[in-house]
Amino acid sequence: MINLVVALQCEAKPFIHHYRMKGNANHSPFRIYEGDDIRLIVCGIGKVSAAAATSYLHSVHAYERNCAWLNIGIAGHADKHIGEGFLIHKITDAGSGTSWYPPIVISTPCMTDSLVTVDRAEYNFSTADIYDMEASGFYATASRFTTAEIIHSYKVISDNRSQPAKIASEHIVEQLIGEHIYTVNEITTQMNRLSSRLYNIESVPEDMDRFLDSWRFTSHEQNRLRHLLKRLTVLSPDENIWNDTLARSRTGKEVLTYLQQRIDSLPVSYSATK
Amino acid sequence: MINTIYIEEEIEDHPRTREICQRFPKARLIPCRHYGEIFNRKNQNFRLQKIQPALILAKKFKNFVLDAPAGYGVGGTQNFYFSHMLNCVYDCRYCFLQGMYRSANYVVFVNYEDFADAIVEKISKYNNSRSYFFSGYDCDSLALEPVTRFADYYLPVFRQYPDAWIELRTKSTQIRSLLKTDPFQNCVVAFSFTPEEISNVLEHGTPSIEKRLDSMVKLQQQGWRLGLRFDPLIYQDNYAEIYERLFNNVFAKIAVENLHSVSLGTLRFPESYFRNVIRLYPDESLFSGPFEKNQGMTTYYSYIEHSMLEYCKDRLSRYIPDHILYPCQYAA
Repeated sequence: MINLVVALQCEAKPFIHHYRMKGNANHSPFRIYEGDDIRLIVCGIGKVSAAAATSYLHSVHAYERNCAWLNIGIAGHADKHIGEGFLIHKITDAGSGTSWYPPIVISTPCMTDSLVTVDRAEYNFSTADIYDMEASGFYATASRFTTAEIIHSYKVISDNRSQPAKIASEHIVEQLIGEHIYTVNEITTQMNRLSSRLYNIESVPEDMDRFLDSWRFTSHEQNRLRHLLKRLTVLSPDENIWNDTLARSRTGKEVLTYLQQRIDSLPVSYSATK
Repeated sequence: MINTIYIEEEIEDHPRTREICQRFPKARLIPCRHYGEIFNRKNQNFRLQKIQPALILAKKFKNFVLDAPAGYGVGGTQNFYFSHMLNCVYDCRYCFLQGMYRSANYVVFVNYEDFADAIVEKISKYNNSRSYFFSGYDCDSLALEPVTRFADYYLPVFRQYPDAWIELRTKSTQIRSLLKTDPFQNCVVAFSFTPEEISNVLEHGTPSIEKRLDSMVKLQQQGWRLGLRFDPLIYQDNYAEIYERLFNNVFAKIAVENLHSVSLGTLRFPESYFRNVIRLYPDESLFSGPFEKNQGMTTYYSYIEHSMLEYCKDRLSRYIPDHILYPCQYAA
């Protein structure tokens, strides 16, 4: 699952259309759209709004682990061409001076650059960075929910010194963003792949619920149960654990002892398990 | 291939920084204030970062040379380690680094001169004792040699002090810089091995056992003193058979008179590191045991550890004299 965070409705439109997302009427504080394995929230302008929307979207779907997060939007730069798109490799919050470095483990289909998030629209472009108003709020918040490798920001240049921000109309913004749909799609596809990979790594063993329904386990024992079931699956993937011996176990503790003994009795051979 | 290089602003103009960056003309160069901003951050995934690790060029300010852990030694009275680099280009599943660091990026400290000063200081302090300096504790000493020129710089330092030994510990075949210089008595080039069956499954991205042995043969022909490191010993049911085969293979090529030392060590993780690695690799059969917790460490059951060590000691003693065999027993 990937969550897109955009500031403006006109930035959202190309994605809503491309991914055939539908508005979700249940969510009131922000406009939210949903498609297959993708979700979009329109946060409004500014880093506080971006942080609030990111947090809100997470809280609504808090049961989902390892979602990828992508902030997309327009940004300014002193002299980069209007319409150029960049994956951001460094985000600095102008207010606090804090920097984040999104680790790039995907193959990038575009150029990358550094970005400064400012509180008010920037017209001077005093450094060689890209300027926006949301990324730091988005990134700092999303980093609390998932691992940094699946959080990114993608920016399309909409203004520079010769064409300042005031000129860009909603229609132009929509068009600028729309031209990057395929690049963004390549990024989201790779991020989704990483997200699924993490999901599979951290998935709960298949039989866990059945065990919890059949015996009582303390929370410490539940952790141990999860660990033992994972180990058993790795060592003996085709094993049917639900046999008479297991059925005779009266307590959770006895189940754990049985599983441990079963694991210890399995052959240890790396060439055999791969 | 390195696609991203983070560079601490303070060493942006350091000649070694420039030299390293020149090797990666297509890499994106990203300035940072301190390497910890990237390397020590929470919410990173070592396993995902191993897909495409970045290089971080940094300056180290203190703790250049540290005491080696108890039991980590091959004949010295004083044992130290120093790390010009954090993390390894290889991806060995049994490596403790994956449980120790949050990031899989490689940190290279470019201020070699400060390390050298600290090394010389230690050498002077322990003047008349055999001091050993291990360089492959937090990284593979030679795997990134074409980039870091680590050996190029540090070997001349040790060449001046015959009582101070340096151990280069590696699985790599990057020995060109050694072959173009004369060997010297107090340098040990130590290669790590596990049996081929285990290496193929658990040592990702490393040169094959045969290639490592070929490198050792080249070094031996030139007169370098060599080390063999069977550390960690990895258990599987037929360990006796596969280790015997490995020893036969190694000693068919490596002459005992060129060996400085052979060491054995068992697999062990501090418990917190072990928790981290099983979270990263729950699907890895290596971490399915047979382990026990022992004084803060996760190790094989002690009877397994004991049997493996005794077996390997016995087999090795058929090839080498006892005084060069170091079964490292690590303090918990």
